[in-house]
Amino acid sequence: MDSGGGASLPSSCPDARKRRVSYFYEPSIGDYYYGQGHPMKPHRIRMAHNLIVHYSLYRRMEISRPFPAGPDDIRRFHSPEYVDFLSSVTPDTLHDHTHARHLKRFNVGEDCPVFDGLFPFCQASAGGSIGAAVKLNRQDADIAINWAGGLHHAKKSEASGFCYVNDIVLGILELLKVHRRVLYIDIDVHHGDGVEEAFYVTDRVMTVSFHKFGDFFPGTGHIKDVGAAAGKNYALNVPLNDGIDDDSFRSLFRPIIQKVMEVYQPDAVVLQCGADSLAGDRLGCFNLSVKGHADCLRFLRSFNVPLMVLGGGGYTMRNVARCWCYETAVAVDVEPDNKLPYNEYYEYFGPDYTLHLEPKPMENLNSPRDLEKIRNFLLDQVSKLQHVPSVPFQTTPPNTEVPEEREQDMEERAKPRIWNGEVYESDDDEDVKPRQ
Amino acid sequence: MTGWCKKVGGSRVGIFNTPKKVQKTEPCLKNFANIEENGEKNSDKKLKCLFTDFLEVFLKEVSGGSSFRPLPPLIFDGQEVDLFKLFFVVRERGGYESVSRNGSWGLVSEECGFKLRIGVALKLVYNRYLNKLDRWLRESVLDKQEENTGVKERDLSFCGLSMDLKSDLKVFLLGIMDKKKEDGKFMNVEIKTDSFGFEGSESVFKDRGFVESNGSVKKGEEVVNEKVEEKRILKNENRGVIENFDEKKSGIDGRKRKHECYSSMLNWIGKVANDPCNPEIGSLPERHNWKYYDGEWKQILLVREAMLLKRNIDPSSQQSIWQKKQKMHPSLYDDECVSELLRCSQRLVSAKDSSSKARELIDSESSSSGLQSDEDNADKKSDSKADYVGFWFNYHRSKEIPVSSLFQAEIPEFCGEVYNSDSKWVGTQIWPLEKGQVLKNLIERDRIGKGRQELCGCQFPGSVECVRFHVSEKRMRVKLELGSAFYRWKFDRVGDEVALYWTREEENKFQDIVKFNISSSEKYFWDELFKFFPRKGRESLVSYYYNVFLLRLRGYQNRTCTSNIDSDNEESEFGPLRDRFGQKAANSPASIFCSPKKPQR
Repeated sequence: MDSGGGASLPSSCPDARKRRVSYFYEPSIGDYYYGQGHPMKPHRIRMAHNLIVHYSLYRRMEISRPFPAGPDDIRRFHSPEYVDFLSSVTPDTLHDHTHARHLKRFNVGEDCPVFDGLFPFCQASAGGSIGAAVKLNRQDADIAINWAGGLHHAKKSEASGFCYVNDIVLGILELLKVHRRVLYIDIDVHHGDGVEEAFYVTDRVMTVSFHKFGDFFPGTGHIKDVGAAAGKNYALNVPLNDGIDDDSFRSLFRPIIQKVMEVYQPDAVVLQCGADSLAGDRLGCFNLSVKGHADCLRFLRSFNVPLMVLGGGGYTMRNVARCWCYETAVAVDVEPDNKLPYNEYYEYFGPDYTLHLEPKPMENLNSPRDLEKIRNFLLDQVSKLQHVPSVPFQTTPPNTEVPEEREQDMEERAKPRIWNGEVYESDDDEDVKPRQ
Repeated sequence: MTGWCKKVGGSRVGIFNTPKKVQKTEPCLKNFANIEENGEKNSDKKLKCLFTDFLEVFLKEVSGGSSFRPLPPLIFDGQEVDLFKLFFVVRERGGYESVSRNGSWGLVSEECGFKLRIGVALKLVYNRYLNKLDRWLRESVLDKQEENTGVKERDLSFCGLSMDLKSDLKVFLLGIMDKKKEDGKFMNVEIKTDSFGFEGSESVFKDRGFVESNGSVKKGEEVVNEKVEEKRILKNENRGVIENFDEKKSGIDGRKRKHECYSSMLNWIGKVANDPCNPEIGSLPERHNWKYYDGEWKQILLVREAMLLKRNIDPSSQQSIWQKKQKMHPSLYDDECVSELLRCSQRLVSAKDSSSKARELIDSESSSSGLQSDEDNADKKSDSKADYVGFWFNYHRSKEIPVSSLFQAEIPEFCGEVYNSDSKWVGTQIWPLEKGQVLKNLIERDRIGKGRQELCGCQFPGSVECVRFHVSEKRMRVKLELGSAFYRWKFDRVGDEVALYWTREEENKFQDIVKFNISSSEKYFWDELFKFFPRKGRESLVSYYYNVFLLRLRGYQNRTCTSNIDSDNEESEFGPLRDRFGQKAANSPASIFCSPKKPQR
């Protein structure tokens, strides 16, 4: 990779670039509607998908419609009462006796309204993330994407910040069946509180969240929140201030993640790509470009560890679509042209009609000194992990032995069970000659 | 430990510090002691009444008036249960969970003056009457922090409590908690920032009734002073145990006159402070010695015992309020005290340095005991690494992460190679197409990632017509390539094509409704739309809105008001309408909308 730098494992593919990418898309997702004026617009997922198709990125992926997660599946994390509520409430029955008393309890109302199709929406989102995990578990894919997922604020018995069902937790729980250690990374502008809380006391999931901190939703994510009990030091919080730009972000993200990958050696990684950390977001206050945002994915991809890529926040629809389209391109290793192809949603991207967006002329309130301090502080925290005996590091073969094993491994993995080999392998020359 | 005490003894810090700590919550302490000792004294009757009154109102508020719990509760043989006492006895033993886990309800029962076997009944009573109060007490501390920082209240079920009740209870119960803390603190336990937010402590002492009922306004004022002093410390990022000591040394003079009444207790505390490793202290003194003491020490020992007990049992999930909110002095946990002698001498050098050392102790201690003292951990670094403190350290943690099975996920077993998942999860594969479906005749496909060609032969490049033409051209290509996937992804319902499913009249109506409603901030065009198109359904209305209406609007904007196009809000052109969520929610601190840098429009 041109900007790889972090590759701790050899690539699975001969050209060191290819990954088998699996992508989940629910075609009806765009027609869910949180309510008038609500900034969360599932339509953005459809816009992203539209760009992905018009850039022909779909040709390099396996694309599936997710199986909707049932109430039982959702109960793997969420409390039964909460799931019952979600699955039965509708805007019409909202004020019925049985539901009305639950509204406050489950924090449903203002931020998280009850809208028509609420539960199917959650089912699609969760089904996609669980499906992505299963894909990785079965070694059918190296990277699994679900842009409808990433709803990281949802708690066990509580909706929060536009999130009702925590598809990430459900996906990670699925991953944990096969993977000893899962690393969760969150680059949404908001703290990934729901996921952190769910795995606060375990060392089998390490959570790392980069977020705006200080007078900002949801209020958690203090640098000193590091996990508890067995999970102590297995939660990492990177508090940031307004206006952080690509370079500043990268100067934190890369060294911290590099170190975490070295020390924690996760068997799988989940990346939440909330697009509200982009410049010009309606609710966010960071100043990242699409490229800077996608650099996180690029870097993680270079480690060649099974990777789940999820959506999340993002409240300026056109930028969300840009970002997730470009990140899909990064996953399949394509550098798309900046001029957007003509597509049905072309006008949404005016007046420039480009893929990339310019950072805003805003002040970066993160001084180099702040950044350095945060970095050192967190690197220090990570380095403590090495000596924690409760983590079964010994089960992972030492780094030096990895190449042979991995290659052998990949031989096996190269035989896809569901994958249509013909289509996938024709990628090389796909660009020039028509497919037979 | 030993070393520490010697040191503080030498510098007189220890001697004065301990009395000061006790004095801070003097009124409560006094009452509490009286109650424990003499059961029927006037002042504690008052206190007990107060407690019962609070409880009554509290239970009413909590249950929303729907359920009625008789007070006082009677157990089956007609005996009255002294809730006040019960509350304390249980708290002393580490709270409901701890007592239940240890199966010590029988002992609680005995302490409350019942028979051993009544324990189960008492558990029930506690559960019904006091558990909520106990939880609320913890919550109220959280709430306070949240009020300060504008973050969402976690448990809304207590919103209904009137402010009066809240503050009353706070006065009453936080006072008691203070007392408890003091008890535990004979070894010096620091009050953490979080437990007494600025506002909270003020509100506690605003309540004159509280102060007067304890007979001395002056005392109350002094307490306020103490609080002010503490606030200063809190502002200073709560630098730590030792610094606290030093800060408080300054206020010693005024306290001396109070000493007499607590002399025996102070003596005892002094003794403990001077030689905490004395094996005598760890265990209860002989019964015949009890009369030489005031009774407080017994309290203290019990609390200590309870705290030590708790430490050993699942500390992460069962922290009681004071454990959560306080930093324990490491010596409390230490069995071997020799090594600390060295560190203690270093403490003399400077308060700051020593505080960081103290944290080191806590740190090392907590990693072995599993107690959550992560903040100490971090504090240590902020103190020791550099003087400069980044902006993020200035924010106090406004929320603690709750730890219990109510919040965390249940981690599945690692099953390695034998993984079998339901194949349903892989979903329905739409691309690549199944073998038979692959189209034979194919157009030349675009390079992956190809953008648009800027040059075109249209008469007015960039015009609406030009764009339309190229979009539909591209669309046809995609349709050919995708085959069945085109329909399975509902591409037939994407973009301006959606308008084909609508009649001209319907489209006009849709536009009218939306535009008309722009002018009124009260009406929401969605409600109107549903009324006017009852047979369309949500999907098709939303689809039309995003695929046609907004798209056309954006096309228009792109060609007219290019300078202003950068608004974040796709609906900004609709005036006040969009505030349905944004504005209202922005006023509530719990909302994700609440972002100070973004002017809410």
